[in-house]
Amino acid sequence: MKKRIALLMALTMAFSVTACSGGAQTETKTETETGKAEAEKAGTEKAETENGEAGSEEKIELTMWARASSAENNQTITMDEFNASQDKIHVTVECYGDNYEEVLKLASQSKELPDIFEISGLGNPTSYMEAGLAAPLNDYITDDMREEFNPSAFTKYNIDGQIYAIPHQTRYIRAYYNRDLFEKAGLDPDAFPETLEGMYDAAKAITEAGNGEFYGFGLPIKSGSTWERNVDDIAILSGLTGPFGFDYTQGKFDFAKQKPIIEYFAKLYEEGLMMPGAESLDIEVIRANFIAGKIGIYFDGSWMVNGYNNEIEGGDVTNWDVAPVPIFEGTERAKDYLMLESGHCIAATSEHPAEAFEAINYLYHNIYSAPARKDASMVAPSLSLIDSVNAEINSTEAVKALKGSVGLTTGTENLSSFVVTPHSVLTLEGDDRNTVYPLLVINSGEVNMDEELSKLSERYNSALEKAVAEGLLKQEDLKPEGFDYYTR
Amino acid sequence: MKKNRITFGRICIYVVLILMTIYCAFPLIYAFFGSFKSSVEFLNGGANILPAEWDFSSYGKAWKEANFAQYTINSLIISGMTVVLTLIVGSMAAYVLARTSFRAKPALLAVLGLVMFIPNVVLIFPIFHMCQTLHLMGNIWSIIITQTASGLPFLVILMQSYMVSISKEMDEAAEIDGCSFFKKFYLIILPLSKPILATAALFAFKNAWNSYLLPLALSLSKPEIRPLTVGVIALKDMGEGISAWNIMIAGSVLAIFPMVVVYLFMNRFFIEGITAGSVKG
Amino acid sequence: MNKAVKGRRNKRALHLQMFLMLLPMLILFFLFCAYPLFYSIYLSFTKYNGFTDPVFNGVDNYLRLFRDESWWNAVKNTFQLTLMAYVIQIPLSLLLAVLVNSKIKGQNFFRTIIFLPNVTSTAIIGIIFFFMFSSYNGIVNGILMQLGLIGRPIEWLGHTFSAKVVIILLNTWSQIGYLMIMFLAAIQKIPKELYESATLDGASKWQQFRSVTLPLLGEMFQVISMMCILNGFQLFDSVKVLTGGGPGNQTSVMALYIYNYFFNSTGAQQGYASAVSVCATFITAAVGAVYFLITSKKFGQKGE
Repeated sequence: MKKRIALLMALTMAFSVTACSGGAQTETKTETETGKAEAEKAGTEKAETENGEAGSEEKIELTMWARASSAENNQTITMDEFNASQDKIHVTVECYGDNYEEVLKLASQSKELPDIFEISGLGNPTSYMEAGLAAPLNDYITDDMREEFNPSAFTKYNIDGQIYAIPHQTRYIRAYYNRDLFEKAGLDPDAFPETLEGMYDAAKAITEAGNGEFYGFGLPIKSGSTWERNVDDIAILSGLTGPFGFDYTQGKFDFAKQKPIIEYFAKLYEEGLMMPGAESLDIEVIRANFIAGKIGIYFDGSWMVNGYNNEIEGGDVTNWDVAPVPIFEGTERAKDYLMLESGHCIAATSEHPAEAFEAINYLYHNIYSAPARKDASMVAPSLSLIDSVNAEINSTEAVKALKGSVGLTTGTENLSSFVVTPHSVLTLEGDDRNTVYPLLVINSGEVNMDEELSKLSERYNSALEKAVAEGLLKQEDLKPEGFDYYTR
Repeated sequence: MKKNRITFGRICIYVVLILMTIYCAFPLIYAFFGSFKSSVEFLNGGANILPAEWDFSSYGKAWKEANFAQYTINSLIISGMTVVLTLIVGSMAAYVLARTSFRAKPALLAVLGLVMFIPNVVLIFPIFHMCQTLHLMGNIWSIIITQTASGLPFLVILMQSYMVSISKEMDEAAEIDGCSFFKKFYLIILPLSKPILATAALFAFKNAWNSYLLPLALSLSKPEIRPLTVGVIALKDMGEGISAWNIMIAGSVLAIFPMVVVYLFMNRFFIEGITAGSVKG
Repeated sequence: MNKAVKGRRNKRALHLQMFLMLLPMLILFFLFCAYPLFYSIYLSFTKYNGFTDPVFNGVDNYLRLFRDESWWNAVKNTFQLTLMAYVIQIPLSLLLAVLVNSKIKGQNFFRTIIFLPNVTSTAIIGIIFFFMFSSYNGIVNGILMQLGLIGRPIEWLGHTFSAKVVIILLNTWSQIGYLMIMFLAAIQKIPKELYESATLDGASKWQQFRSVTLPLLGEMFQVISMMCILNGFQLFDSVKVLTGGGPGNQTSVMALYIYNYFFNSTGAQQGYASAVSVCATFITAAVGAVYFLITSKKFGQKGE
């Protein structure tokens, strides 16, 4: 007994020792790591970075927070390059992954925001702007810059004429499909169905050909974003509603309009044309199975073309391709859904807003070719809001030869964003859409869909009224004059 | 005849116990062998427990790429320091509560008992707020201190009930020799309480090592201070990535097995601890 | 006179020492338990988005709480899962305690292995169960299909009922050893003579169990029961990892519901989340109060 206690004591002692040394170790480690990265990038400035602090004393130190989950991503690569390209400013990028919004909330509360923060993944970025946490950018945005950017870049985060953030990424939804499985099912892999009816037939043919080995369609029912990426996208393309069932022609939520689309997915589900276990699957599981050749078709964001080509193991082996999202037969195709939720703000508390803007400006012009510069095999089709950047990257042979780049770049002229997306501002009382829709698809036979959808609309509309009353939303933005899904 | 019946009863006993043993050990065995499967094999599933081809690379990847080295150190620091803090703070409080009586004592004991029933999640957000006020946010000590605080009520009651049962003769003798209240604690009660201290230490260690919700919330703003549990599960919710199953399983094994090993060596303390605690109830 | 002064000084010194030795615990308790609880109560009367100042809004949050069907569904699930866990775990752990206590070989081995799950992290084991029960490639379906027991994969985590079954399986897995050891401790405290005299009276094993073991377990039985129930009310890790409350909110439990409102919601929901927290605390405290009533009554009886 005594021996064991002694052992325990010894263990505890050992822990307390590691406790002290552990902390110190981490710090030195990060220092050397960034040091190394800089040395690699800097080249000419090698001497200076090796000295570490000595050289950077005159430099203006800026901090930037990003949502990325891995430390090596195109934002950090670009910022390392920026640091090496001039000797005035040094930007340190910190990445937070999935919990990004919580981190930002916390920091906002204690007014400890970094100089630059990304607004990707935030429920309601405008609330940060209205709370005075973001600095107005009008003074920095030159006319030349306005010309370069897609005009929608400057409308999204515009409050009373002041711009508080500039989106940098165009995100949209595409159908991803497996060409090999199309062939196995006797379908033409070059002709991805243009109608939902055609996609149903394809899913059926693939599932039958698979006979339990692979399945026609993949729907990650457990992921909240599924409904925006599947149901909303089709609704927008069909001119029915905007995101989250919001109808800009009526200025209110109308989920009933999405019913045929929900029924469509419920049918796929019921007839077993979806990969089994869809109810408990996350998007990452769907991706893993897609790339393992278990799923014929699924919908995902444009950025996954980059993901599969560059980052994900097996993406280079599987014969996948990309096509525009289909709509119902006989429907006229409306404008495509351009999501602009990713961009950057400068903190109102930043002491160096001009320098921070310089950094952002560099980022926007260089971020899309960053992986390729870092590793020549990691070419990326462009998703920038700056046309010249897109043209430059997309004209390279390497990008043209990339899997999925044809499908990705077809019809991009049709993309357009919604200036206001009311759902992100609401304080909803009760279950949100993402909680209700899964049940409608899984239990389509048992639930009264009309009733559920009208309850949902009621819930959203009452929250909408409150938000309007509180001044969070303006009536004229909700029902813009002469709004039309086909010309917006 | 009679012998037969006994044998039949025995067989029943063994069948039940063996089934339970399989139930209890299976997930751990499955995880252990699963961690040596390649990503593709793991994804394909099937009924095989053993990997078709042994692939050791997941561990290397987990250790380096997924930052598990850091998480393991964090887990060790958090659990180790929680044990130290719990033993110091808890044993003193338990001693006072065991050896003296004062007006607020019954109320204090009742409150400590009741607090155990508050769902942890209820307190998380205000604890957040508190850590911010104390400027502890993003510091590994925020996890250590809150972890200690959340485990204290149970462990104090556990230690207190043991100390109550220690005979008072020794400390009465010490008192005559002129020992102060604190000295009695230090010289007599602590050495006599070694078994329960060991048990409390194990409990504190186990709880801190396995804790998920508290460190999850407190390491939101600083991934560098995540313990293993949070790190492993973060791999599952990578968001816009793709889950690296094999790395995750390897990570799970790394997170679970140290505790299993500690237990197998010291299971007597665990079991005695529960028994000691249950005497009082 | 002198003695009295000395006594008083001694007493003061004693009180000071007592106070100082209790102080660290009291500070921790105040900072991380009492204060947070009161802060929650304060927030529950406000509208709060987590980063701008809270705005007082009276009892709105509580009114909303009573109308919130999903919350009461989560409460219902919590009670349901707790009850299911109770009905399965109490008899099973008692049975195991009796079996492990009987004269068999490998007693120690069984005891050690059955208790083993209790030392692992539920959150992590949740991931492993998630893989084991995943419908397409999970090993459970794999084995069941190979044995020919099922024709097509069961979608364990996709349907409310089967998802709850898996949650219970996981909960039982991690708790059963703990409960068993508690019962074992109680059984071992029962004087051997009682069994011997019962055997002399010709009582069968079952009769012995019913007339000796069970009644003498009485007090411990209450304690273990309540541990099992309170464990049910704390249910969080396993549900979060296994189903995340889905499909819909069908498998959500109190703790998870609160967590989602605090950490995964848009708009100004923190005040409402606090109100839900306060409600959950009341529900749990009510159960806790019942626990104290029952056990103190038992102890009282024993004292007389």
